[in-house]
Amino acid sequence: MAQQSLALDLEDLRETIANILDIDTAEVTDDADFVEDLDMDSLLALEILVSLERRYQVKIGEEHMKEVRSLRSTHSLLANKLESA
Amino acid sequence: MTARPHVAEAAVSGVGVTLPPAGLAPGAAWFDHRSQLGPRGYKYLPEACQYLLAAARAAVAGSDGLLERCPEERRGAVVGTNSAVAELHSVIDRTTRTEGADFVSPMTAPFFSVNLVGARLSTEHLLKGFNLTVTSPRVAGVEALHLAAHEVAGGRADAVLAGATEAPDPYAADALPETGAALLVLRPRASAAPGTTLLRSCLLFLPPRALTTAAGRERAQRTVVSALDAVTAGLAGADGTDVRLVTDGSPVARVVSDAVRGRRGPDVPPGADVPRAGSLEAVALLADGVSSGRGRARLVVTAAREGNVAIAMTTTEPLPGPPRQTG
Amino acid sequence: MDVFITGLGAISCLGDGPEAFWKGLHAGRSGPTPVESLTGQVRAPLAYQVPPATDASAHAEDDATRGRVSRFALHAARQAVVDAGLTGEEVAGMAVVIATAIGVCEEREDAFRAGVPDDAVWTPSFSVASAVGDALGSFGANISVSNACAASGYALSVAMDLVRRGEAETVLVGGAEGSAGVPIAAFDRLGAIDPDGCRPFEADRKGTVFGEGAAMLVVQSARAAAGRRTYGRLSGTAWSCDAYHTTAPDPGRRQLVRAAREALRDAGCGPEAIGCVIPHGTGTQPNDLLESETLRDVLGQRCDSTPLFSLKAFIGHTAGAAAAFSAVCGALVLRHGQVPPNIALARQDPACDVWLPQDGPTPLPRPGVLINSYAFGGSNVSLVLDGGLP
Repeated sequence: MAQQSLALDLEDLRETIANILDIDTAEVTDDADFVEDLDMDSLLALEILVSLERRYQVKIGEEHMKEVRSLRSTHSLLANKLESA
Repeated sequence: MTARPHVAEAAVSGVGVTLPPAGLAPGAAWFDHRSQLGPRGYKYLPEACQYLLAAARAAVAGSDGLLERCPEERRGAVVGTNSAVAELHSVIDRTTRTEGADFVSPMTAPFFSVNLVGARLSTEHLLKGFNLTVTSPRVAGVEALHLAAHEVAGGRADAVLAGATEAPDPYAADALPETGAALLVLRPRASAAPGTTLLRSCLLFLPPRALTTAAGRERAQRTVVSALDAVTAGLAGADGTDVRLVTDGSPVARVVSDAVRGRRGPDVPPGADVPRAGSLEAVALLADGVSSGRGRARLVVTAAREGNVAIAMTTTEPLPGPPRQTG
Repeated sequence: MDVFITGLGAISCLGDGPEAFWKGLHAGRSGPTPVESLTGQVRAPLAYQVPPATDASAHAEDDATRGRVSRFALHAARQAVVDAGLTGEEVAGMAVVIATAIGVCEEREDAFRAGVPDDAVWTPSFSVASAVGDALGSFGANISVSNACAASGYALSVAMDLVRRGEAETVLVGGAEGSAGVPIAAFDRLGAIDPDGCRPFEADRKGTVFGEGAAMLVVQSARAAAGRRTYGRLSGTAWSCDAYHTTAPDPGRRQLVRAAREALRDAGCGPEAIGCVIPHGTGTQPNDLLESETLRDVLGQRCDSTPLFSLKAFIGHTAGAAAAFSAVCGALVLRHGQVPPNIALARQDPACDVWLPQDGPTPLPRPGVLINSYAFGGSNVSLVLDGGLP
């Protein structure tokens, strides 16, 4: 596995996403839907994508936007991307 | 035929300012968007937009329900700025060059378009009449007040939020960056009860290269003097007027300052030592003139190196209207 | 009080001057070119650029210290002033209202990104109107409008108001924009750029493409325009604001319809007077659809027989200068009595139910032109030009 600049830690990811969505960390439960439950629109989704790419130094690609829907799915997406990086 | 300095007039129904406390250390935090605007939804707005929204709430709250009484399509906004998104431009430029446009923050990217700062006022207060951003060097705030006054007088709106917002210009050079916002709520003079504060304004331009000739300087001086006279026309107790200069060290500013002193007396205080990198100061001074309620008229004369000049006055004294035009 | 168009100036990817502009609009084709400085930094580094050395002029030395956008503005401004045959006194007294969405942003970054020299003076971003007023020596009011993609539409309205209330007899009005990294990068980041070019009303349109240049008009009162050859009148204008969302237009379209209807009312005419529409037509999915539906609402049955001229397909989205280019185009349409053929569409979006004639010039059916200009942030403006004489 390639060396990562930042280890993928679930709690860190939870806090990062909460920051971007401008809500309390507690609201980002493992399965809360970003769109339905947390009021994320497409621009905010893109913001998450770009922030994660920068933070974890990995290319995700906009075709994966739909996977940025919950903490769990986002964690999964990132784990895959980091593994194949 | 010369374009004559033309005076616009409006009644002031409310004032709102968002300014850092005096004596604040540079870089010290003073504005929290969560407490000033709301716990969510304002994080990505450029700071100039946050200041503007806060100032607007204060102005609207202080205008006795005027805005709420107007139909949405009869409410407008005119915002002046020079530097509201200067920092953002710099960040986008740097990010694009060093990392590529893919790493530009999507949430802040739309604000590369400076008018989005003022446009947010419309979304917040349902101002559907119009929303306009003007940007002339240093005079943009008074430019905004002036155009807004014409719009209410001309019937395009019944109430207009107008003023300036600024955020520090990263390239302020020899000038002092500005931070904050100041807004007035304007309505047609004709609709205002006696005792209402009045605003008068006038825009001028003195082409800097024209000032290299005696004829040009003479024309410039005449233009400033006739505009001053028109703005202050009918003001009794003119000696009591509080005159402020917002200028820089340019030849344009010198002609303006000399003309003002020649007309209003040598006791007119000089402009600040360090010129301002933005359009906020003039509007902040006018807003202060309104809310300080000292009863003196406040006359603010603003000039920029580039040639732009603006003269504006607030007073609670009843003035004969409509104002005399010059020329 | 009537407002007459007496002079035109234009510099764009189609070349230098109103004649080259008009000729280019009959060429039936256009396209963006790569922006070299953005290669590798932006996904689709394209723009409809002014060809190199196009703005070379007798004043080149004078203008050389100014950045790209100010040079364009000055160049087109001088053309308009000469075209109107203004006297020295008229120029000295004229008001100047110029729109720019970005101003000298690029020039500031180039000058200061590595540091601000100790002896530098403050150089505000939006100094284009001032630069033109200074170069021409004009003592009238000088106003800088920055309402994004509709900025010069608002500038034209402000100029009309100056003349109508007797504040100015002569106004130089227009817009200028220079190709710059910041707006292109922002558009790119927002997915608003179509890598295949600016293709308004196409079924598979994907966005817009930035364009640069400057378009200027001299407008005058009836008294000042008397004895001059005029292009037509700026007869009506109206403003509105969606107040809906920061970036997305209001699908309800109420404010788009209102701007157009009130502009017609201001012009003292109805939709039957309109012989041509120059739409905002940017090539984004939402804009072209909403605008088409709006035109259906406003023109009714006449929409079928009112030709649209899709200007942005030729010169790209010139942001703050867009409406001014539309007005220059509208003036030329009135002067020549014809609407140039649109660039052929591969497949017009069936949901955009408007007439875009693509064969040979279309005779102008009625001497009235409706122009729409819609800004990022929901600020809308519509303008009406007609063939009225002083």
